[in-house]
Amino acid sequence: MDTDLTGFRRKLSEVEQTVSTPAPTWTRLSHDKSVTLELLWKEYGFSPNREQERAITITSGPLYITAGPGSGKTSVLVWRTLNLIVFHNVPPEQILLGTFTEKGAHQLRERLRGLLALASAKTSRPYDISKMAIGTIHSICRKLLLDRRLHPDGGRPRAPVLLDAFAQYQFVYAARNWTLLLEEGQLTNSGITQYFEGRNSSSRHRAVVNAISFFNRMSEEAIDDERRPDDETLQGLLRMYAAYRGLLSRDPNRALTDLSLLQYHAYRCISESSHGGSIFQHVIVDEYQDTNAIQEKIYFRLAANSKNLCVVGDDDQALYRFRGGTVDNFLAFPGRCKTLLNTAERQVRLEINYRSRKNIVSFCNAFIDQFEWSSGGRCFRVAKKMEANSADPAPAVFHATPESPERVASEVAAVVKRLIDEGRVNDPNQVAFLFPSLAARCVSVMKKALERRGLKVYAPRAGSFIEQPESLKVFGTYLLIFDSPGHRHGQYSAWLDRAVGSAQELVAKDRSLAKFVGDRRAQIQQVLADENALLAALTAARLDEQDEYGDSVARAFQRAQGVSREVQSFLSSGRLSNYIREQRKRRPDRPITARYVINRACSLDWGILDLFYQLTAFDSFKEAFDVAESRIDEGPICNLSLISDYLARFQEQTSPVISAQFLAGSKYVRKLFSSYVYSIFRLEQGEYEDKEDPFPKGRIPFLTIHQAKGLEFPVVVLGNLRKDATTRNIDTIVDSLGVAKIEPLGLAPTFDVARMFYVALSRAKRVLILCPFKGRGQRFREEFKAPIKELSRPLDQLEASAIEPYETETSENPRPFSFTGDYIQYSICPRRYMLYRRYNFVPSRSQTTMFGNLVHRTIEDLHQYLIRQKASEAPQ
Amino acid sequence: MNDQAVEERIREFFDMNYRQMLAEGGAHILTPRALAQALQQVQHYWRKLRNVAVSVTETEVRLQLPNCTTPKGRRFVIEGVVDLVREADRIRMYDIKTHYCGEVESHRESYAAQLNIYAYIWRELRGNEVHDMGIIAVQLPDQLRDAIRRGDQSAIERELQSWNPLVRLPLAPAAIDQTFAQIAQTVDRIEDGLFSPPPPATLAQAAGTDENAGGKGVTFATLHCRNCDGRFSCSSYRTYVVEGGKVGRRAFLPQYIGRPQDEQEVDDWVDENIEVDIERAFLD
Repeated sequence: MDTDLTGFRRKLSEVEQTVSTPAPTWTRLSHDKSVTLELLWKEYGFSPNREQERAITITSGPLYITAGPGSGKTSVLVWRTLNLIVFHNVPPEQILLGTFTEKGAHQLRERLRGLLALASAKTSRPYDISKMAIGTIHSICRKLLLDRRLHPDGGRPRAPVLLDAFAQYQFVYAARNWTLLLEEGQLTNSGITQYFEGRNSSSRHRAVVNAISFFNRMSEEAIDDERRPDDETLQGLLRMYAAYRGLLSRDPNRALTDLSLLQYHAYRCISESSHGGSIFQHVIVDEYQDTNAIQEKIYFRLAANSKNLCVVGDDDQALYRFRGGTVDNFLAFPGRCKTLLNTAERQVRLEINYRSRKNIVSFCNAFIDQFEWSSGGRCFRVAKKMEANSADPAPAVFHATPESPERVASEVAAVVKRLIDEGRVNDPNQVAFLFPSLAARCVSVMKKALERRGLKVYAPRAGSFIEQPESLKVFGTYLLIFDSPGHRHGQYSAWLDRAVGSAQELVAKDRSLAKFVGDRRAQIQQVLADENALLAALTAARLDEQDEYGDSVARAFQRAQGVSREVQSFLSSGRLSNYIREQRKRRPDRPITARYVINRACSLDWGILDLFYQLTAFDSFKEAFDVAESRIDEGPICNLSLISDYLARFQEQTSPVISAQFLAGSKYVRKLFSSYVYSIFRLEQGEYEDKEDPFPKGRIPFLTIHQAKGLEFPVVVLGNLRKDATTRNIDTIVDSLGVAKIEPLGLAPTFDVARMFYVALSRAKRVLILCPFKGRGQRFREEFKAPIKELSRPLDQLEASAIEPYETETSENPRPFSFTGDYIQYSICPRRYMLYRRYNFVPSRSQTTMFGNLVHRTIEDLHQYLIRQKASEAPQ
Repeated sequence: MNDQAVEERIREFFDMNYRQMLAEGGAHILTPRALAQALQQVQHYWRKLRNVAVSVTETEVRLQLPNCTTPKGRRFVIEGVVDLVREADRIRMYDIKTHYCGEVESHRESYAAQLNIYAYIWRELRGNEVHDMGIIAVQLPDQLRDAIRRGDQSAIERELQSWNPLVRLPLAPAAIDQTFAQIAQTVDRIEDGLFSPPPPATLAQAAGTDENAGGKGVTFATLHCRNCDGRFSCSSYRTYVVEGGKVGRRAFLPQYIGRPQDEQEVDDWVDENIEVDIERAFLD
C-alpha cells in the first residue's frame, strides 16, 4: 500500500509510517557448503588485507575497529553484514547498522543489496533487507519507537511527532511558550545572551537560538535534572530545559519531540522494554568517534544480551563536539566493554589508505603529527600509522603562493580552469573546495574568481534560500496581495522592499497577473467589509458575538446593511442550517456562536497554498516548471518546491482557512511576514538539497569540511588554512555541570582544529591544493608550515598533463522504484510525477491520500490485533 | 474471539490513527462524511471478510527485487508493499484498495500485473509459490450505503450478502516479462528526466469512475487533473480547458483561476477547517 502523491514528501515521515512488525519465520533452505565467503570475494574482485578480513570475520563479542581515511571501511561494513546474513544465518531484522549521514546510509543499503543479490545467485537463497535497521541514528530511533517487537502486547506503537530544527525554533520562539520558559527560569532575553555570548542583546531571536543549543546539548549529553550548579543563570537554564520538555509532552494526543530528545525517547523505550537487549543479535556502528552520550547508552543497551557490539571509527576524524559528539566514547570503548558488557573487546586496525596518492597520505600524517597529543602523561590519540597503498611517487600536494585572498583565488582559479578544460577531471563536480566555514570572506572571493573564468559553483548551505529570485517573486506577490507590513529590522525591511519590487516588476509586465492580484485584494476587502457589517448589525441589536446563534442573531444578520450577495445567500441557505444541525449533533457541549457563523460566512475560499499554485499559472512562475520539464535547469523548480513546503508548514501552524477575523488589523500578514518568514530570514535556511543525489553536474561544489565528511574527490582545494582554537562557551558550561570528559577542556579546541583539517586533507584522491593567505590581517595555522615546506610544491609546478583523466565509477548503486508509487504514478502522468515525487511539492489538498492511509492503517492494526489474539488463544 | 470486542478495537484504532495522522502534519482534516465512510469501510471489511481477516499471517509485506536492469543499462530495484498474506494451507496474497469492485474489475489487467510482479518477488525472496491472489475492494456499494443511511436492517443484511469485495486475479507468470519490460522502460524515462504531460486529447478521454460521484464514468481530466496542483502550470491542461470551450482564451488566466473547481469541495473544506481557525490561529 504505497498511496500516491505524498509518498516521499518527507523522508522521516516515511519511516514513521512503516511500523516494524515481528520477523516472519523464514523457510530455511539447506546451506550449500560449496559457497564460501572467499568464493564471493573472488567473484566480486575484492581481496581484503589481513586486518580487513579480521574485521569481516570476527563475529562474536565486542569489536573495536579503528579505520583511518580511505581504509576501505564501507566495504568492510558491507561484507561483515553479508557474512552475518549469508554464512551465520542472522535474520537481517536482527542486525542494526548505524551510520552518520543519510548519504552514507543510502550507500551502505544499496551496496549491501547488490552484494546480497550476488550471494543469492550462488546460494539460491533469498535475502531480504527491507526490515533491517540500517540508517542514521535518527531514523533508527524512529524505527525503534515504532518497533512492535518492543511492544509485544500493545497496539500500534505511538511515536512522538518530530520537530525538525526549523519547527523546534518556531515552537520555542512562539510567545506563549517562550514567556512561560523565561518565567520558569526567571531569566530575560539579555540575561541568556549575555551568559552565552558575553554581549548585551535583548533580542528574543538570539536568546532563543542560545537556549535551543543549550537544550539540545543537555539532551545529547543525557544530563539529568539532578544537577545543581552554583551559577544562578545555569540553574535557571536547567529549569527552562525541564519546562521545555514539559511543553513538548503537554498534549497527550500530540506529544512532540526534537531531533536530540528523540534519542532519549528511544533510549527510554528500549530500557523499559524487557526485549530491549535482545531484538538485535548484532549492533554495528559506523563513525563511532562522533557518537554522543545518549547514543552510547542506546548502543550498549541494545547489545546487552548478545554482546556483539562492533564500532568503527577514527578519533582523528571526530568533528561533532558541538553537537555533544565526543571522542571520549571512542577512546573509552575498551573500558566500557569491560564494565558494561563484562567482556574484553578485540581490536582491528585498518591502516592502509586506498584512497589517496602517497604524497597526500604523507602530508596528512605529517600535519597531524605537528600537534601535541599527550599531556600529563596521557595520550589523547589512538596510536596508529596510516600508510598509502599507492606507491605512486608523483607530487600530489600543491600550494598557492602565500598572498592576499584575491591573488591566491586568481592563481587557483586559473589552475582549476585548466584541469577542467583539459579534461583532467570529467566534470567540474569532481573538484571540491572545502572551507572551515562558508561565511568567511575568502569564500566569496574564491567564488568570484572562478565565476570570472566562466565556472559555476554549487554551495548548498551558503546561499540563503530567501534571497533566490523565486522566493522574492512569490513572497513579493503575497506582499502585494496582503499589503506589506514593513519591519523595524533594517535588513529584513530591505528584503521586504526587494520582494515587493520584484513582484511589481512582474505585475507591470503581465496584465493578467495584475488583474489576478487586484481580484484577490478586492476579495480580502470584501470579507473584511462583510464582517464589519455583520458585527455592526449585532451591536445594533444589542447582541454579542459570543451569543448563541439563534433566531435573534439570525434576524440581526438579515437586517445587516451593505452585506455582499454571497454572504446574504449563505446566511439564508440550507447549507448553513444543515451545518449547524450537524455541529450540534457532533458537539452538543459547544454552542454555535454568532462569531462562529461570522467566521464561516466571512472567510476566503482559498488558502495560502492554493494561492501559491494559482500563481504558477502565470508565465513568470510557470517558466520554472517549463525549464525543468525540458531539462534545462532544475534550480528554480527546487526553490518553488521548498516554498510550497514552508507555506504548508505555516498553514499547519495557523489555519488553512483565512477568515476575516484573522485578516483584520493585519493580523494575518503580520503572522506570515513579521513572524514566520522573518524567522526563515534570520535562520538563513539553506537551499533545496537532495540527500540522495550527488552534487549537480557542471558545478564546482563549495562545502564546509563538515559537509565533506565521508566523501572523497579527485581534486580537493582547501580554501582556507586558518581556524583558531577557541573553547566554546557551551563546552565550558557542560564542564561546569560536572560531566566527566577524558579530553581536558583546555586542549580539546586545538585537537578539534587538528581533526577538522585532517578530515579536509584526507578527502583528496589525486590532487590536493592548499591556499595559504599572507599580508594585512591574514595568517594561516602554524602546523601547516613544516609539512608544506617538506611535502608540498608550488602550484605553478602542477602539470595538468601529469594527471590522468579520472574515470568516474560506472557501477552506481541501483535505485529503488516502487511499483505503485513510481511506475503507476508515472504511467498516469509524468508531469504530476515530476511535481510530487521528484521535486516533493506539497499537495494543497491531500484528503484522498489521507482517506486511503487511514483505512489501510486501521485495517493493518486490526490484522495485527487478530494475529496477537490468535497467538494468545492458541494452546501452548 | 469476541465480535463486540473486535468492533470496539476497530473504533479505537481508527480514532487513534486519525488523531496521530493529523498530529504528524501534512495531513488534512476529513469531512464527517468522509470519516464515517472510512470507518464504514473497515467495519464492513471485518463483517464481510472475517474469515480472511482472521487467517492473515503477515501484513504490510515489503517486497524488493534487486538486480533489475533497464534497456539503457541502469541497475534498479523494484519495490512493492502487499497488504496481507495468509498462509494456512496455501499462500494467498491480497492487496486492499479503497475503491469500488467495479473500478477494480474494469482495470483487472493492471491490478493483475501488479500482483503477479509481487508474487514473483515473493517467490524469489521466500522461495515458495503464491497459490492465490486478489484485490479486496472495500468501498461499499451504493445500495449498501443507502441501506445503512436509512438504517434499514434487513436491507443492510441483504446488500451485505450480495456484496463481493474480493476480486480474484489469475496467476499469470508468463505475462510478467512484459510488465518488467514496461517498468524498466519507465525507469529509464524517469532517470532521463522525461516529464511531459499526456497530450490534451488524452485528458478528454474516459478514464475511469469517480468514487465521489457514485462511480459514474469520468474523463482523465476529472479523474486525475482536477486535484492536481500542477494543472495551473500544465500546458496540456490549459489547452484542454480552452479547447473544451470552458473559457475564452484571452480570459483564461484570472477567470479560470478565480473560479473554484468544485464548490461543494470548497465548502466542505471551509466547514472542516473553520474550527481550527478559531482555536489555533490567534495563539501567539
